[in-house]
Amino acid sequence: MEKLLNFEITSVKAYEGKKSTWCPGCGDFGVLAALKQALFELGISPYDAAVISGIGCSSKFPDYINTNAFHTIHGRLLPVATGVKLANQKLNVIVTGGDGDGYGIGGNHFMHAARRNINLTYIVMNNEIYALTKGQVAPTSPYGFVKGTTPYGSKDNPIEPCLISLSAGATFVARGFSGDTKNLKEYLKEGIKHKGFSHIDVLSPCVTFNEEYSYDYFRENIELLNGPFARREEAIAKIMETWRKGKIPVGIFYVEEKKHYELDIFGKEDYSIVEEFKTQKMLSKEELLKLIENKK
Amino acid sequence: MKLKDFSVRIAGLAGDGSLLAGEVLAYALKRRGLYTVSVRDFPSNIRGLPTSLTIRANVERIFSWNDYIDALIALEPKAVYSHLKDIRIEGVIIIDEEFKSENLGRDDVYLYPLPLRKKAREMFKKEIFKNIIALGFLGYVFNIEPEEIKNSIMFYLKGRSGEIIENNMKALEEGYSLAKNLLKKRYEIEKSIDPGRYYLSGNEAVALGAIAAGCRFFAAYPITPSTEVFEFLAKYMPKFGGITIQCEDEIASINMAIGASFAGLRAMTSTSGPGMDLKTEAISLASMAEVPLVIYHAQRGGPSTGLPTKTGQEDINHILFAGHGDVSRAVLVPSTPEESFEFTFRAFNIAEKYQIPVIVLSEQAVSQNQQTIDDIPYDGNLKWERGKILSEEEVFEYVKAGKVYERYELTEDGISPRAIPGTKGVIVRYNSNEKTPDGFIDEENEYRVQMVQKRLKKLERIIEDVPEPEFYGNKNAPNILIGIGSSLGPMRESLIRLKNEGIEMSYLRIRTLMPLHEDYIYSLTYNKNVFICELNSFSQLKNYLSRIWGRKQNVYSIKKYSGFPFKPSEIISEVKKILKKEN
Repeated sequence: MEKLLNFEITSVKAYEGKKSTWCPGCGDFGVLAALKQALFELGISPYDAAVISGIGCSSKFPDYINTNAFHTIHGRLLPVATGVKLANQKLNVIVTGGDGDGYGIGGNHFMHAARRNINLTYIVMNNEIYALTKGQVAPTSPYGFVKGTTPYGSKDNPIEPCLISLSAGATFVARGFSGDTKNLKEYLKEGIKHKGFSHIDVLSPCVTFNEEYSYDYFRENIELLNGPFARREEAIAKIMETWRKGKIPVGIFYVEEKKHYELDIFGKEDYSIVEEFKTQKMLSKEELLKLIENKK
Repeated sequence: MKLKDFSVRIAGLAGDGSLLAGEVLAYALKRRGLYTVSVRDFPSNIRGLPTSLTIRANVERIFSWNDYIDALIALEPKAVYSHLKDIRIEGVIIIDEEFKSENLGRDDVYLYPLPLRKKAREMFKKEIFKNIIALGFLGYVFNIEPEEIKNSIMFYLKGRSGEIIENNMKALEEGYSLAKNLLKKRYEIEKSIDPGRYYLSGNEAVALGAIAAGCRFFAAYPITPSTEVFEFLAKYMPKFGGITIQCEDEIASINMAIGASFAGLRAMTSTSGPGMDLKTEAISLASMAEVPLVIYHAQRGGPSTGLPTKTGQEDINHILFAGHGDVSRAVLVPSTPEESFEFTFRAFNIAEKYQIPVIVLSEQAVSQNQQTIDDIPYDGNLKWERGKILSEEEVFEYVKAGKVYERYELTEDGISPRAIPGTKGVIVRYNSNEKTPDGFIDEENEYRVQMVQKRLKKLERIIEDVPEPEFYGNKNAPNILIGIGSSLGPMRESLIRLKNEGIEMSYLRIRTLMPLHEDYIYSLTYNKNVFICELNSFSQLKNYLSRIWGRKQNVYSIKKYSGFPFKPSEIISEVKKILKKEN
């Protein structure tokens, strides 16, 4: 049994899922390719990974990759993933969502997952638009953006997600560009290896609804920062400085070695409640009654 | 005078120590073998608003409070007015002497103005001890040995400083000695010699049930009146290798539990009122993705923030119909601590067997009020039954046979085997979208129809696994009461008292709202006058049940929505009123 189940993953093809239904040229293809390659190079078998997503184009990710997967509901991908990770830390839990999903409806969970520093890798495919509902503004869309629900221009200012995760306490913060899968793959690898909450915002162009933010636009406007910076404040300052110049900062901004949430709670790495439970028997009546006696 | 059944209320303002004094008394009574029921009335506030605890004790098992009280301790003088009408003739009132009692308007009760505050200040420089002085006085009135109350104080103040415990003991003795000098009337309560019983709230019982059932993941957001479940589990879950987590909101908590269940654990979340509104979307998810999940919901008065600390049965509609689309679920409704334990345990088995969300629907009066019970119903009948969960060996058989594991495999009974993510050889793919059997998104007609039928099929047999209604009384009685949750005790007592007035009545207590034992309910109620007791104004229970009988049956709703459970007299007078109108 051991031998039969001891699969060796010999090619990145092992991670091949269903054929994608993304629009031809979608930025998410680059993220998918980079993640498959990253998992392969890290030697994480499809059986040891779980990809959890929310709703949206990017959240169809689990269908296109051959790992354990859970396509959940809008914005709730991080809580579901947190439950998975706490139940079984042996799983490499990768969370894949979009900007509307994670920064809009799931914005609160984003902040709290970062502050909890739970050991997850959170990849946000940021196309600065709501695409699956056919083109409305997102929390990352610029002020004045004219789209279906904002015919007179959006009156909301955009957020900078990496500044949010940095200030909320994330211990790994990076931004990649799906047109540069070579670097992106490296960020993903570093993020997956990192013990703690890894937030990787990925500029992922929507070729159908957001022509303003095309591959060419990003190629011309991104600026690779020379990170990671030693201090959180420094990372924040450098990101703000880059934006002020009218450029979009990319790169690994910040990495901090810090006890992650699960380690803090259970006191050991790779603890799996699921495995621990296998060895448990039902409580005896006496054990149960003892809990009542000690309740005060 | 010997009392077989008696009720005491300790009332004051939040912060006066009425709840503590009441708990101490109830525990002392439990130790001397009496069955007790306590009803908490407290505000959604830390200090300064009216609070009371009513304790009823009886030599026999009781399930509700009574219509009247035998004694009142009013720690805050004004409290006496709010409770005056509940005190029976020859009852006892203990109040502070600083209160001027001329205007009380009742000369049929024994009034004891005591130097409660003065003594407490003199003896301990702190007014707070007035509650225990009053308790000592009451102990003497009812002929309870001081030692019995002292043991109870020790239990409740376990871990507190020696000085605090000592002061409480002194305060208690002071109360007894005040009584010896002043007492006009003394009662004796019947004694039982069997002290082997447990004093437990519904919430505590739910937490015990979850631990016993093998729940090892609990995520929630604190909300009254369910928080004690969280606190109990937070203390004990780590001892069993599990985890509890306080989330940023209710949405996160239910979704975390869903994640843990996907990963292979027995997981639970708990909530109340507005929290349930927030969890609704995830209930749809659990149903659609076929994730086993237990949700504990303790109702309070609503809507919106409503009456956070008081009881109600206003969430029946919500619990039965929450979620968009055809959402599968089972809904169990306990009435007692015993059932709170048992139903929680069984909920985990049902959730895993059918891979659906199961809701244990309680209410403040059941979840927070404590009762003395004989035993925890934990025996060979309760076993971990995990349903079609694949062991590593079974997964190996898949791999050896060259079969692809399909999370949503179409099976005879609609239930697909669950593999645990992380098991070598299988990919486990859950999906909230409509899907193919292997879990990939699919919106084509062919699979959509098959998947809907599969989910429907699962529901066909759940009725075999859920608690049946409880029938009580004479089957031939022309009148029948129906109720859930906290209505148990008042319904039971109404039967006896109505019979004395020549009205034959039985009752049916529904313990599972979904699926509903329709045939059974129909057979017991057909052609009878049906009185449905419920704690809401919309007749939610009546409207839901009415489909069983159609239009012709005489079905009436007896409603209460003050935030308190029924009193037997309220049911009795409503029944009589309705019967009179009909004749």
